[in-house]
Amino acid sequence: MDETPAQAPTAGAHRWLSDPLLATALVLAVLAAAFAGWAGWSWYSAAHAGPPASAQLRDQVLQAGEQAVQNFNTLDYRNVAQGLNLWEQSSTGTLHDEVAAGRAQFIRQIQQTKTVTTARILDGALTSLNARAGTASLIVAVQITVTPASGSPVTKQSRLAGRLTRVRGGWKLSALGQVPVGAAANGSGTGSAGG
Amino acid sequence: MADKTREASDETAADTPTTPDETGETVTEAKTADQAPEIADETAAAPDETAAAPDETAAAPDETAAAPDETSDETVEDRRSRTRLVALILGLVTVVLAGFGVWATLEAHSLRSTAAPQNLALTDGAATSAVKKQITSAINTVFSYNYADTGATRRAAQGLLTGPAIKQYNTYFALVTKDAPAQKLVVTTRVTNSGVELLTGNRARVLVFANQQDTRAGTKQTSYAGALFAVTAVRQGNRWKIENIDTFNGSQ
Repeated sequence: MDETPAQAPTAGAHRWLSDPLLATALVLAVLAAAFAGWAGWSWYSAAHAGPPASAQLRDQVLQAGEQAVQNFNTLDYRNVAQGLNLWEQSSTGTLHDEVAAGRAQFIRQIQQTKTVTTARILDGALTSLNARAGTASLIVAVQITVTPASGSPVTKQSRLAGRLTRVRGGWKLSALGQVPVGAAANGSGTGSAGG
Repeated sequence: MADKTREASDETAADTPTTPDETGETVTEAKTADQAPEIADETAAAPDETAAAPDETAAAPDETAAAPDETSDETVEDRRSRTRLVALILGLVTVVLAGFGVWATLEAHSLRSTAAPQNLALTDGAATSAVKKQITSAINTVFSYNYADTGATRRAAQGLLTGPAIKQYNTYFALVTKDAPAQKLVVTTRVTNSGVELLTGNRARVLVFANQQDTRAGTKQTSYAGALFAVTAVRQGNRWKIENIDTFNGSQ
């Protein structure tokens, strides 16, 4: 007597699955659900796919480097202190020390020549990037325009090479210099600091 | 039966005082006598139960008889329609899910195909240095020449240039073939710095700093010049070829 009610659902489920129409419909529904799940994931990942972290870091470091190079090639004799503050903010290590040490002399020089220097970044590229060590090297093609107090502005293209170091405030220049032209230029090309 | 056991117990109870030796027996007998009525009662009750049981078992066939009637009524019509309903719902679910799947797959595909190709500059170290190496070598070759055999450079350049760069180079080299022999010019170009800005599957942009050493064989004069330009390169097979040289409208 106890056996009869226990058998009933099993028999029912079995009867359900043994129905070819229902079994087929169930299998198709499960397959469709699996396909929809996969396709949904594929769509989601395609919609939210961004560049990988290493590529983002590269772009971010290059942008920081180009901005720092631009800062270092921009100076207005009417605002020397402000310009040099920007130099100091854009640099670290030996380059920062040199800027700080030569500050007074630089202000005197610029105020005598009364020049306004502006820079336009033509192009730039990282030549190395070590995310773990927090170091990078870059080369930048810059168009520098120097406008004297009297006379017409002079524009020249400049080839700069620099090193970047990661510090708490982001990536800053630790070295920047012109790539030398001529016989001496067969070296690494990463010159000493300058402005 | 019950009556008999009662009589028996009465008899043993009567015996007990007279024969003390037999006490053990009589007690046991008395016990069995005491128990006996219970057994008797049970056995007496049993017929009632067994009597009732047939009623139940008699009822059971009615139930089992009734059950097939119910299920057969449901199975034939209700269950068949219920099966159809469930199958229909499953079918609709299947269609909706499959429709979504197809749409999502197409959407994902169009998103991927319209998305900008990834820039592998520096993130793919091997590919980046391959571009750098080949472009450096190509620049060194196409911009180095000896007045005595400018044709050698021109021939070497054929396999290193493609697209607009060919025309650019022909314009430049027309001047070289005209002027170099007259000035007895030997030019050696060396790339000093290069950086890959952009690197997708088969396109690259490389910023190049190069130094040029010009020697006039006649006067033994040597001068140096620095150049900066960006090279657009395309990969053809395993070779990166220069497609365009961007001098930033400047002094090249």
